[in-house]
Amino acid sequence: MIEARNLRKGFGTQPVLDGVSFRIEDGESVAVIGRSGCGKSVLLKLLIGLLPPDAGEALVDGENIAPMNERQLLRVRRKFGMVFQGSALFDSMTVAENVAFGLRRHEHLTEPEIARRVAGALEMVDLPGTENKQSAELSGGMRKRVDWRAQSFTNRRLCFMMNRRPVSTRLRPTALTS
Amino acid sequence: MVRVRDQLKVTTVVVTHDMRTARRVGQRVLMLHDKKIYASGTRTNFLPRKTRWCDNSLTASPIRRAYALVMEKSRLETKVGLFVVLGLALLATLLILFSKAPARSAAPTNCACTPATSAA
Repeated sequence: MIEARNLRKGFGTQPVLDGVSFRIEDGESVAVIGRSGCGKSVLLKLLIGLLPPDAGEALVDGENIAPMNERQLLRVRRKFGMVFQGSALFDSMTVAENVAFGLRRHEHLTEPEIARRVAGALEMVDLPGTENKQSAELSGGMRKRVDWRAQSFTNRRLCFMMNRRPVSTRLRPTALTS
Repeated sequence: MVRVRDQLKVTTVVVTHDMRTARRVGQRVLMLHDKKIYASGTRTNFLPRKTRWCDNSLTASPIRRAYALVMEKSRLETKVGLFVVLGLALLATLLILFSKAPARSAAPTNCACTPATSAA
């Protein structure tokens, strides 16, 4: 569960968010939209603890992350994955190594078990047999799918995504009538 | 992405500019505007398919009207900006034309005088 209670954030004298409140239940999928510069990315950063709010509370599973220190934040961040505009894959690693990165760091699994999970994960995003490819060889869309799958692995129950399209399709009426 | 999300039952927050992505991914949509949550609603009442987004009629749902209002403001700002740019361009063109006009008319007068003086 994610909850924002009266979140406020500003930069210098410029307020960006002024009393934002909402609640997202477990398993729910929410899209945050708005014009460019309205504070969507700032809101996301407040929810994942990358920025501290000026006032208000950002709760993840009932815990207010606003006053947490880096160590406490790391514990909370293990619960969720983050997928950003440019997929965050290690170019020097293979696809399988990228997907297994989180598993190796946070779970004690045998290599055959990791390989089995990675293969299953890649099949789920229609990329079977790409384990040994370098991630730099993948197209943008494929990279994003690998990133998304890697981030939503195992015990991660939350996922934050930042998805931007080129300027030409941003909030234009023509792009909205499909 | 939607398939993976549904299979794994992952709670997802997607920040996007793109309405198609929002409609495809978000079961619920939050609209940020003027530093606040301006409107929120389910995917079906917020982003219905085949909708004219300029629809600002009283029959539209409150959320759609809110959206249309923001879009209207956005379009108005764009129009004002366009008029200002066009006006400035017109002004600049006129200034250039008027500044060149006296120079052209002065040249023949001088030319006419020159042979007269040389002949004398």
